[in-house]
Amino acid sequence: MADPATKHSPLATLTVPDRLTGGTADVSLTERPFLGKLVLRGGDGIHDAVRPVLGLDLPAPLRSAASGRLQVLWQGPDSWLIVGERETVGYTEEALRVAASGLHAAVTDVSSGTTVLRLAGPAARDVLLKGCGIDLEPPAFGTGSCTPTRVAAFAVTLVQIDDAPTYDLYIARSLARTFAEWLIDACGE
Amino acid sequence: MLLIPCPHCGERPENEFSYGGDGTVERPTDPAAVSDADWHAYVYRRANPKGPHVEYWYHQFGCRSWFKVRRDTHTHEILPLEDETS
Ligand SMILES: [Zn+2]
Repeated sequence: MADPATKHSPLATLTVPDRLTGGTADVSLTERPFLGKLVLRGGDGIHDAVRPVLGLDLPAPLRSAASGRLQVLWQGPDSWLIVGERETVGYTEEALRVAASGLHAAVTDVSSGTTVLRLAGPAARDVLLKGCGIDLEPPAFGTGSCTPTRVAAFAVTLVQIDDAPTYDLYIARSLARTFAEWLIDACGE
Repeated sequence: MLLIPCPHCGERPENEFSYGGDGTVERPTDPAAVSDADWHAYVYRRANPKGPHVEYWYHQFGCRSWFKVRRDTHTHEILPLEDETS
């Protein structure tokens, strides 16, 4: 029986082929488990209210922003995902609540609801394009770009991390395994 | 596949969206005062024109916004929205 005190990431039991775990492959696939994640919703006034807490400006549509300890992803016209280590996100959540009090705003911990897959390497863009219909070539989509979109049958939030290119894919944990298997399959062609 | 212009995300492939039907139908402000026939018309009756059609689309696999598009149902051409309060 599993130890109830042990936490398991959604992809803990997934076997990623060796060829996708090395640094020399055309593409690699890894999980970034156990990150803290908050959804921040807010309209007028939210930018100014949360800037001192986050230490950065909420990103414009289709962009992400990062400080040393937090990453902020645009998700919609009044919605952002704030990502970092669990502990950092924990005290950020409290500080955001205080900062946004009195505004039409909401802060929700969604840490366990999604996990993050990191797809990196020269072939990463081609792998995504097997299931994604948006233009991923710079300048349409480059480092720092961020969008919720569709990859195969999956709703993901897609962020480009660097020019390798490296992508982070945020996926609901209940779909993470199926999605990872789809990616592994797509990497094989 | 159609490319549908989301006001927040720009042009995106049709399979990121859900169709929301006629964008000009207005819910009666006082449902209790509406006859059964008129309520039935509000819920079910649609014009189904061949040509320009103002319709709702939902960016389900994207920013999750509802918005209106004017589309020619014959050619699938996306047309400018005429001036209206949306
Ligand atoms: Zn959109």
